Amino acid sequence: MSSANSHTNEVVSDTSARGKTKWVLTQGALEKLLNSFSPKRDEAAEQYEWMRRRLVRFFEWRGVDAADEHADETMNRVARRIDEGQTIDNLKSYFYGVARMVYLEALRDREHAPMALDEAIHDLREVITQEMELDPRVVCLDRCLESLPPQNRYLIVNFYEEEKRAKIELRQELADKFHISINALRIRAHRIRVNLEECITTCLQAPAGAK
Amino acid sequence: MRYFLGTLSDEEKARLEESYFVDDAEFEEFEIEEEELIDRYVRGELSKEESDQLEKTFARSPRLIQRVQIARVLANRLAPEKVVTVETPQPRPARVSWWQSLFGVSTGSRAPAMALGFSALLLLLGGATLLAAYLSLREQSRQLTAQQAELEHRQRLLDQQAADLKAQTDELARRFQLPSETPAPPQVTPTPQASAPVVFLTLSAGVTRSGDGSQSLRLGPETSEVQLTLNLRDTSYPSYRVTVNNADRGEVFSRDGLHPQATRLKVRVPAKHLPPGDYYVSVYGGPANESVADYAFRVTK
Repeated sequence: MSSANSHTNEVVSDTSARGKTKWVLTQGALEKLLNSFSPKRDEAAEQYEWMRRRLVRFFEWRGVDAADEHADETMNRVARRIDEGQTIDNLKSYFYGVARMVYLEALRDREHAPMALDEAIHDLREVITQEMELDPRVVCLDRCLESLPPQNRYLIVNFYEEEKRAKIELRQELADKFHISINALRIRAHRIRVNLEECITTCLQAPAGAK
Repeated sequence: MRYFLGTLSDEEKARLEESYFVDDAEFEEFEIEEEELIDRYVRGELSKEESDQLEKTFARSPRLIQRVQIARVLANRLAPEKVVTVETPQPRPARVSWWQSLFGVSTGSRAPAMALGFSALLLLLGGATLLAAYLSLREQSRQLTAQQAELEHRQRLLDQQAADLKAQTDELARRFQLPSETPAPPQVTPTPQASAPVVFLTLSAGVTRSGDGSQSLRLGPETSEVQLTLNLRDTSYPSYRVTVNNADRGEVFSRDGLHPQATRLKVRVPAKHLPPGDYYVSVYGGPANESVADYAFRVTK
């Protein structure tokens, strides 16, 4: 829910890049959008987050810059339609349709202002090849691993520990130990990893003394 | 994987995207595939063309760059022996065999080289012994962690059961004017009073469905509802679905969109759905609707 609200504030204070009057997301329009996800507030906030995640992935893997901004733009357009009283039968499909429109517009914009991709790839390689000892993520990872419940820590450490054949065998053993299928184990490891990555991101943003 | 590498046709791409937009489970699978691909990238398991293609996408997204960096740290920390990152061109030294470099066959005086060689051999032997000891210790450590996790889990379950029993005892005492200090025996779920309009039953996963291991519940004519408190081992799902099934595997009751309080899930079942017999309760975690746990109980009159 907090993300949904912060989105409102950001958009309300936003000004149009093209100089024309831009529709802004009001609290009322956000309420209607959330309500169209679910009449239950918690469930609506959860579904809002999931939809935003989908939109960000969509724009990222379609190779669009500033995926977050395009995701918010898509959210705003759908919120506007709902605010104007349009009835939407399948909200998730509708979001996808609007996202495709926003994507096509982003492609047109990109033709006018192409990004220096070679330079960005060079920067990426530099970041990735830096010495591991210098990476503050190492300290944060250790800290975040410690903060996991013991069962989750055991699962994630063992899930990633071995390589190739040994890894397959170990994962089967792990799945047996937790009385779940290999696929359920994959899903569970993924959820723990998502939490771990969130923890590392928060840790990185904390002041140096707090790490 | 072809989606991420940009080798799908527009039609295939759109089909996949639409499916992950409308289906939560598909989206989770999509995220897992993304994660696995990033892992393969940081381990150097992709071809150069595949890595180059991915880098074009990564370079545009701060989130993906962050994921790549974390994947690298994870891989290095948890499976350090195989981490390979992006190749960076380095000047190649002249080709010298390991034997030559160890014993210095082709260069300079032989005696100091031999001494150096034997020293290196001794170091290698020492290193191998240390490695064997380290691997053995690591295995022991893994086993100990597993045992500790299991013990902590059991302890938590016992604590919860004790707290539940205390709450139920207090509730019953309040209803029937009994002294609330009556100590509740640990690990025993009392058969609720038949005359209470709502009866309470706490269940833990893993009890057999055969009947012998089931907890018993006595329902009277005044009983209108049964409140089941289900101890969960896994509370990582955003929501849960509960079904109550009879001995013939027929579903007599279900409720979804449930959220646990601490590690307990509470659900009220109308007593009219529970004629005498054996029942089992299944809990599923959403949105993938995965089976989380099963519980069993018996209803008597």
